[in-house]
Amino acid sequence: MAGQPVSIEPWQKALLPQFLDMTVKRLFEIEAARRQLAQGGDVMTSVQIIGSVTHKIAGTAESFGFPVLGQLARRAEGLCLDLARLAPASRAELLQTRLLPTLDALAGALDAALDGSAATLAQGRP
Amino acid sequence: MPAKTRYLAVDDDPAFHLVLTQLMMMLGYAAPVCVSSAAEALALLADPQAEFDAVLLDIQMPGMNGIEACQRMRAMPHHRDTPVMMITTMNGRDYVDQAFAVGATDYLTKPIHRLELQARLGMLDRLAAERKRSRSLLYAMDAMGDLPGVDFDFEDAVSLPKSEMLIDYLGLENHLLTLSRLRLYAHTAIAFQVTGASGLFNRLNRLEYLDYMADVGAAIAAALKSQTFLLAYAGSGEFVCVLNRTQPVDALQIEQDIATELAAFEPIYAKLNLPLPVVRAGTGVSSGLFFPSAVKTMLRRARMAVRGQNWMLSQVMAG
Repeated sequence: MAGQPVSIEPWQKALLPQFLDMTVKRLFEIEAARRQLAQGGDVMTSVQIIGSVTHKIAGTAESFGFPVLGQLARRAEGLCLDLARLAPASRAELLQTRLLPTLDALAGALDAALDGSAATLAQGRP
Repeated sequence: MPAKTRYLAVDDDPAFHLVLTQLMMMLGYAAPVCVSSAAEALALLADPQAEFDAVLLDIQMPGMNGIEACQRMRAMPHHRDTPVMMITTMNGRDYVDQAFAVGATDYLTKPIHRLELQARLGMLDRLAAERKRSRSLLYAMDAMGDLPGVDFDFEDAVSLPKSEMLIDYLGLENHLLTLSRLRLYAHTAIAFQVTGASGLFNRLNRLEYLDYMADVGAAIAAALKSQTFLLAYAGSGEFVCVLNRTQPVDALQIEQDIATELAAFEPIYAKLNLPLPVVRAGTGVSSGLFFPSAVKTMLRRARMAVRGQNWMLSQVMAG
């Protein structure tokens, strides 16, 4: 299964529910920031929130056996940093063509991770 | 078994606290004390009784970032040489350079892996144990009413006093290793040698020798002020500098600039009956995309270059 954590150790398995719980909450924070964007809110406020949240996911996802989730989070964080460096007039294109699709892919990777983890956590249960 | 090092871990991500604590306990360490912000960490570190042996520090955090926290920590006399390892997802050249410039001992990028963490913590343990040993020796001498003595060999890469522009040699080595790991290759190492340093080492007491070398370090730093660089005393009367560039370095011009800076000290040295330091700059040794493996040996090669040039010069002078 694509979303199943790779080569998970017992300690990772024990902490997996907490990690997934935190990551789901983080994706809600990203969703809220995206809603603000869609409603015409300040671009950089939302980008800052998204950058900060993806930074955290990038730091630990791989340690829990989710390299794809980690890579997508790192890519999203990098795009947020790129956006911050751009002139306001040039931000819309990068946002629409790169950041939002990456965030969609990140949400998809998390869905896959949740499905895969459910299977992993079920393994070995009585 | 790992040493009984007491670690403080600073990261705003609770998931990282979980990972780090688990990995360290699996490696035989006590759980680190985890805090979520630089402000909390500095409050704990300000108390000398808290006795943390080493610090693991994230860079990007809300409020104060890890670079500033490291700088503030270094300003605390009891944490001037406490080992600090940055643990971060930030893998850009600017972050690496800034971290080592403010006194980081090492730099590890997330995600962390058990074997790599074990190796790095092992290095921090050794440094923390060495620091403890030298401190207890100083306290013992203090208690006996002796002036705390300073003793080291000519070859030792000791820390120089009053040298905010210099970092430790180990920090410079780790800086290069970090750049190598992150495949950041555009830099040049250049070594400087103080002529007649060995004779001065034998003639002066250790504190006088350190002061003399600190003056030289300050002059080199001033001569390089238009460049982005990290500079360390390497022992044996030599300094090594890593410049953030690969263009050729004009060693002769740098030598002249250093001589100009040192000329300001001339009256003081005359009064002390000491020779004005003469500093030779070696040929720059560059890394590059096409020879990344050479990064690890850059400092050594830069030092060999300046030694070789000085040897040739002495042969020419001798006729």
